[in-house]
Amino acid sequence: MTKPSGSENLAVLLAQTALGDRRAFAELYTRTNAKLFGVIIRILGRQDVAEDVLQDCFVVIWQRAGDYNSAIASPISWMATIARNKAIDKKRSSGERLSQNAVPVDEEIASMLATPLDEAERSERLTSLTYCLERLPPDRRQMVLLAYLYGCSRDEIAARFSRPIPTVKTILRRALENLKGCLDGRA
Amino acid sequence: MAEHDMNNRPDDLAADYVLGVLAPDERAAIEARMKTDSALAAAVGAWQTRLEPLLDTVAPVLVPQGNLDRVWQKIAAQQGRGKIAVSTSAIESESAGAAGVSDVAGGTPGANPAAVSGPAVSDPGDSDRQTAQIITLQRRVTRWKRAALAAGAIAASLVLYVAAARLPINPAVDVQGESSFVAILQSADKTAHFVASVDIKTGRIDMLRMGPGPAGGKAYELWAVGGASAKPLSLGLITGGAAVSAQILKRRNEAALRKTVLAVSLEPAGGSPTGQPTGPVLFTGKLVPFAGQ
Repeated sequence: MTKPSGSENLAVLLAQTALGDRRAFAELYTRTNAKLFGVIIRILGRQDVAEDVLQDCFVVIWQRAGDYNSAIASPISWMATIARNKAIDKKRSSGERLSQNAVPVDEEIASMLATPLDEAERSERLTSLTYCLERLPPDRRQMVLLAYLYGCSRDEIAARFSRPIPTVKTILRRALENLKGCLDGRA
Repeated sequence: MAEHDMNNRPDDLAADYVLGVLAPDERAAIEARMKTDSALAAAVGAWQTRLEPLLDTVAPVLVPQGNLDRVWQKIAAQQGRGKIAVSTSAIESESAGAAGVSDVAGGTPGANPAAVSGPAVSDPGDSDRQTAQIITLQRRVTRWKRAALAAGAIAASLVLYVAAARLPINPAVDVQGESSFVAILQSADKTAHFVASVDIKTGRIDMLRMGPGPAGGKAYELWAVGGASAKPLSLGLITGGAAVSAQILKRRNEAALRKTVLAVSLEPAGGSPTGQPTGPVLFTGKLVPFAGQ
């Protein structure tokens, strides 16, 4: 059997997992656990709690692998959504409010976008997304990134930017609309 | 409330969902809706795809060893609770595929393949639920068969879709309290081969098989070793990689259970003729209490 690679084959592993194939699931775990762990740690900011959340995340992946639809999103997107939701639940349920200190500084977010981990890995799609994010007003860009990458709720963002929660909701939606228009225009 | 009602276009909801700013109940509602609302599902997928490149900015972090074992334990514990009501052990990929099929087709003649030769737990009142589960499974199987064909998945596994649709369904068991134990049964070289999930209250053990089935004509027999008995006690044959009875274990207190080891030996078809293991003991694992969630 040839060694599958890439997202097409993550999809095959998910398909096999949906049928209860434990070896496929173990392989899926091996290929994706470090990435999802990074995603969870970014949201929770703590490794010890993150381990537990990662386990729960893979339990859900095992249970819901049959729900994955390759026509809709890539396997890693789908898995990352599960990881992010689990991490966000944990963060909110533990009642941990993101303190001013814990909020990543704006420069950190900016530099993160400017220099991804590995230049070689900087995909064309990330270049496009960065381009479009940079066209947003800075506070809107930060709100989007705080929500997506750091799992900040509307409440947290509202507190941080001293804006009413409904306003944050509207601003986020506008920002995403702009982002969508920009991305679709470049596609 | 007005805030909720106004301007909640599907694409906005999808964006909120993917961004991660919804409350848990709102998120659950969207996930439920996505199953039937294909436009919403597509909108969610589109947003996942748009924002996904940001994941490239997240550094992978090395996960401590043993984390996957904990995942299996959690899965086994939930399966014991009936949350995953489908016994899937007969489905194996690659070479184990053939063994998996024979497990289903060639178990005890005429009997439910999930049954064991021991004092098995039966639950005839569960047939409606089983039918529902089978239908769900078949729907999934059809979808994945298409996906797998498209992706050029290994041919061997396709044979198993048929077997999958006929898989025995474990009666769903709802258990509260601290009556769950798990054991990871490993071979001498520490390869995990079975995960046993023991429910003391209902007297049921679910065996998840992770490696190949027994070689031709042989059977795996499960034993309880140590604890309250000097001699190994047979818990039954693992015919479909499914449930075996833990009735014997029900009589033990927790202290004795903690000292109990589960072992699988290779026996002639039909099980050990002597009531004690006659073949090699291939896999062993200690029972550990599982607190659940």
